[in-house]
Amino acid sequence: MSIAYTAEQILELAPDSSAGKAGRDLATASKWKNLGYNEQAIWGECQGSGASPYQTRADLSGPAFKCSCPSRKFPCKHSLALALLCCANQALFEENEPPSWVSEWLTNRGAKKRKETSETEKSPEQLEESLLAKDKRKQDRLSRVQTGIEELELFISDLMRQGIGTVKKQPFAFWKSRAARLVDAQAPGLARLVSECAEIIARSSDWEDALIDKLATINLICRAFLKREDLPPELKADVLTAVGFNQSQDELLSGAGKCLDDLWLVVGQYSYTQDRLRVQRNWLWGKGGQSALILDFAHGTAPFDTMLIPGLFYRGELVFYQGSLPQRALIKSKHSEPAIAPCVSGLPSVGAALSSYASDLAKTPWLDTVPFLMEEVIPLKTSGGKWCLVDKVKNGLPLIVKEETGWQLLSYAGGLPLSLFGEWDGTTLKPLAAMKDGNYLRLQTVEV
Amino acid sequence: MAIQVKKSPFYELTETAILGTDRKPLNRILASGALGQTIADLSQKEDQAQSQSPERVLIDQLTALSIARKAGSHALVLENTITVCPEESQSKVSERSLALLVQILALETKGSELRPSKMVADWLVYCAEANQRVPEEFVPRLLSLGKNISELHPLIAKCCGEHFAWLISLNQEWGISYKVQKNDQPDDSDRIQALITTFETADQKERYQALLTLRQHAPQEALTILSMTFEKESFETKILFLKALNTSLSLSDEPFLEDVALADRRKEVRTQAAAQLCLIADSRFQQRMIARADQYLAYSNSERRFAITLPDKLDDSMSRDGIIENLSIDSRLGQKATWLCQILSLVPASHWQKRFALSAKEILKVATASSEWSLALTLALINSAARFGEVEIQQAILECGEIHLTDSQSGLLLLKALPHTLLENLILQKLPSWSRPSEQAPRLDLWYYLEQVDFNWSEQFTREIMKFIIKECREKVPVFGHTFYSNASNFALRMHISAGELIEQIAINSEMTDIYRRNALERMRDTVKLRYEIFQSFKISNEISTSTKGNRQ
Repeated sequence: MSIAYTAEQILELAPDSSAGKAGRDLATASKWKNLGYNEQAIWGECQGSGASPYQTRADLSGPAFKCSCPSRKFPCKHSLALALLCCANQALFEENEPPSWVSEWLTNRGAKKRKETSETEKSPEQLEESLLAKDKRKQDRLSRVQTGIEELELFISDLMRQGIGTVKKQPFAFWKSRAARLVDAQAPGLARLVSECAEIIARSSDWEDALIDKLATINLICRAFLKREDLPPELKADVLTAVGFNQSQDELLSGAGKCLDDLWLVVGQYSYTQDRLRVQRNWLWGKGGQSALILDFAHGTAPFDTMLIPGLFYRGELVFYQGSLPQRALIKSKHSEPAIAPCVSGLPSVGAALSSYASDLAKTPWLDTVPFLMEEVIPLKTSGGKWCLVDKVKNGLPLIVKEETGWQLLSYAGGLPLSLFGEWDGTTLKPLAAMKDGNYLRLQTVEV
Repeated sequence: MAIQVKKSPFYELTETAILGTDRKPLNRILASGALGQTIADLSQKEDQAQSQSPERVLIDQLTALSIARKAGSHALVLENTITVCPEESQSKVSERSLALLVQILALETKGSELRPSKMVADWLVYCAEANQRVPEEFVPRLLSLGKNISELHPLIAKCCGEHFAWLISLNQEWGISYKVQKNDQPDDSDRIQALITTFETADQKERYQALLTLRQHAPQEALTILSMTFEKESFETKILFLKALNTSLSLSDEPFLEDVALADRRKEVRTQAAAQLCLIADSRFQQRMIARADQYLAYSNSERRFAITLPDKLDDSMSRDGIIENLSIDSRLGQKATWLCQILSLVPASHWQKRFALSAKEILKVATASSEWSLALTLALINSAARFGEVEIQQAILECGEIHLTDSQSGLLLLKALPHTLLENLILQKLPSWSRPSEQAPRLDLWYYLEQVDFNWSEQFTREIMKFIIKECREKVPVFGHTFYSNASNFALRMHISAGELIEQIAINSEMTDIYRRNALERMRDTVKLRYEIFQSFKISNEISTSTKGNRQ
């Protein structure tokens, strides 16, 4: 048996620091019995406060965990401890036939996977009926969105007439109610953009330019939606996605999406909360140079489904959502490849990065953010106190970064060039990770 | 009307958007280039199709400009350069050691009751001993953490390698905080001059640090610069700076302390000066105080008791020598007895031993038996023992069954002033009696003693205390009071690292009904375990590196 992860990588999976600490405390042999492994999983029993020990199992290829404890955290401290124990001392684990509570779990996992990938069998009549119903639902929704967008255009026109200088005094509800109407019109993507207008006004000192940019994006999406029938299929898919139409994951996985098999580095990861929904953004960078965004969502304290460890390589197939600039993707299959040092090739200069952004913008003009993997750049703090990165020819990009993260990055670089990964929004780069000499450093992001 | 705009098209359109088309009608924009043409084309839509309102045209034009601006963003041209950090020669700490540092730092951010700076200090000590360094990405975090903890500065400097000096040269705030550290080892006149400059120009904290460092390396220069500015300082600063003279205190400091500090108009300053002058052997102050004390205290050999004469009044000379008129030492002492107590406190006990030809033990015995003034005499002897650090009288006080050090401020002062070996011996002597069933046991002062005195416990002492705790947990004797509950983590931080070998023997289980005791013991166990893990992680990495070197050879 060889475990694919380091202790630090396992602790990255902890839902919070207390779970990590508790997991570390439990990772001692004396607390465990019946430790075992086979080619698929590891397992063990940990005595907790209950009468019978907790049965903990982990499939480290995923990774995936399951424990009989009542904790709502995922992975729980027992799962973390089991993985940490395996990482620290594999000799404690005996190769064995898995007990029934492990084999059942593995069987169920396999069955679930197969169910996920298999098409529900329907008769041709049922299939036709469901397609017709689906088409009708889509038409109804398009019509509701159309009405919502016409209202929104009127709203924007009113803003232009009265002047955006007047909106500073408007309450938060001014934007929120408009966003709510768009949610009612089943255009959640546009609703999110409208909500962001309120945040721009609240937080930014020079909010006027930022607000105009945001309104311009909204306007562009609205106009594109109204003329969607004249657009090429990829751009039409982009417009519908921007408005808030979801592409069916089942359809994408069953062949509708472009599939790419590669060695993927989890190059950036961060999460934030949006309307009580936690969103995790995982950026993957393929050895072939393709980037991919894996989005994951969870309510409250529920765990994220996708367990990707930043700085690790995974071999697997990704299926991209349809669009003129394939960016968001789904994981079709993955296996971790921990032995490879995190190193991928990116953009050679600031000029090349900006050109690449311009050409992406030409394909999708309402593009929100793009990933930049900059090579050979040096982070520094200017005499004016601004954080920047600078390339070999002294071209720079401004960074949006917490002060402590800025210093961490600066110290990591030591005044020498490194690779820096981040999200570029057209004005600033939000750094998410730095890499040098085959090492990976995850960076804390600014709260948005 | 078409206008040739003087301002940029984006500025013109932004202005219209901010003011609104009601107040600033949309002008037709004529601008050159592809973008200008696009905007002009959009303007024409207003004329061509009546359905296209000026507001619609405006937002479309703004949209075109916004995209153009984003797509055409230019790189910043930066002339700033950054120096390269010199190459590191020390090896990095192991992953395990680093994980433990991360764990400790997380305690700090959670606001845990543990004192993370002490844990960090532990970690840094082992790191420095192993001659390893913190990975560069953690250096800023440590610099921020230790910014205001000067005790950590030398350790941080040692464990952060070349990145330490490099980063503090780039960060002004760190540069100021760690500046004194850079000047900590003055080996030439330039450095001494730098310390003098710091003392003359910096803020109070830095001035104090500079004075302290200077006093350690050049006592006379420190005294000179202090005497030059002393009169202009506030009384709090005067007291603080006088304390810096405790290092290398000698007869050469007497003129300044006697003529300047003792002549100060604030009694707090005079008291501080008196406390220092009495420590200078053969100083005028000490002679004066002994002569004064001799007037009030005599010994009758035949009666084997002290004869006390209380001071009639507080004269100017007494007041000048730092005797305070209304000082509260103990509520049972009157004003004159308090004056006497203050005077006797400033005289070493060895003087009485010599004068009356009595041992320290005998003096204490006579003092405690001396009728109505026994309290004043005992407190004075305790104060004197704390102040002068004379082991014989300290030992006698500790052995005297009638004195409870935790009963008075003087006793607590002595506890804090005791050499740590003496305190450990005192506790170890009493430990068996505390361990007895509660009926016959003396008052349990153990945890209170340990709470009062913050020191690193010796290995033997730690082991004995651990055995005591293990035994008490097993026998369920209620020796864990509130003082233990609130200090369990602190005790764990003071223990010798060998406590880690015994910690698992403390029986903590869910049957323990006293939740406070269980929590306290758990906190103690967690802290000791963490410290022990840190120690082990460096020990293992040292062993690995030694064996690797051996293999190479």
